[in-house]
Amino acid sequence: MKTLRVMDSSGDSVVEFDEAQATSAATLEAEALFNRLTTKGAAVFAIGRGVGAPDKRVTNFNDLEQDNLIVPKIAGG
Amino acid sequence: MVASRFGDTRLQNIVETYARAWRELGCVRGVSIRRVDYNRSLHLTVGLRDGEDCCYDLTDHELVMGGGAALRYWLDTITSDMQRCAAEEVNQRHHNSQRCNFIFVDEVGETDRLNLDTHRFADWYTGGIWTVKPLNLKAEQRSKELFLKIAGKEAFDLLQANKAFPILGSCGTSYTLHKRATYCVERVSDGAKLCAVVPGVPLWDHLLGIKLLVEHDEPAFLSTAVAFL
Repeated sequence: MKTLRVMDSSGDSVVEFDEAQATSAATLEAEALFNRLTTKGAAVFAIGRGVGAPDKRVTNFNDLEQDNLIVPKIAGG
Repeated sequence: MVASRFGDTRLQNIVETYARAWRELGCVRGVSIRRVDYNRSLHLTVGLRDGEDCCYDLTDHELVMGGGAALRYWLDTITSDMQRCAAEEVNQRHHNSQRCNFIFVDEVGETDRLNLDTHRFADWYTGGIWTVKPLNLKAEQRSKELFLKIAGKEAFDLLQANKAFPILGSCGTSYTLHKRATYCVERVSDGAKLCAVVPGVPLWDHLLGIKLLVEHDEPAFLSTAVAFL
């Protein structure tokens, strides 16, 4: 089971999906969300990768790890 | 305007009443109040015994809109700070605490965050008088927890104490992260302040997002951020 957290006005929303079931509704929904947000410029990071393992930038849905965070596209202040 | 709303003598008496209570706490050496910004703001300085000065501003707009409640809240907040100072052996408060500088969403945009006691702010000031959208406290808490989980307690504690947290850009540049909605990143080499925001998210989410982006995609951050040298 993998987790995709999306930062939003509520803090973050969590989408869980099982990568083993590539055609399940949850996985398809997560992939669609991933593609939609990254197309808009959001950045995705694999987080909580264990002791000593730093966070990692992810650009491909298949490279997602256990826990992942989507940061919406930043804007100049 | 401030003077007309709260006459000199009356205001002086109110502040002096509070100042007496602050002095009794033992950590205050002096209190001064003056008008700044062409009489549009009250600027109160509380000198602490350890040498630091804590500064608080209350604008005319806040006073007019909030009336006595705004003044009371302002003074109560300072009291709360002084009680905290008295309880701490070493006061590490920064100058110019802006807890009392109410920033109105309708004036400066929704991405600004209020660094104050949000419960009281919501109770006192958003009861229909002003069209200020109260902070989503659950969201704020959730974002804090996420920051703690990902960035760690050390980073959280430093930022929470209004101290700079060092971060290393993906290209090797040293930066510091600061707990504020705007210009939250400073470049160590030249002191440039860099401003980019994660729009529509609570403050700690914003800080976490910026931190991650600087650490993993510094060029993308720099291409978006506005720099102030």
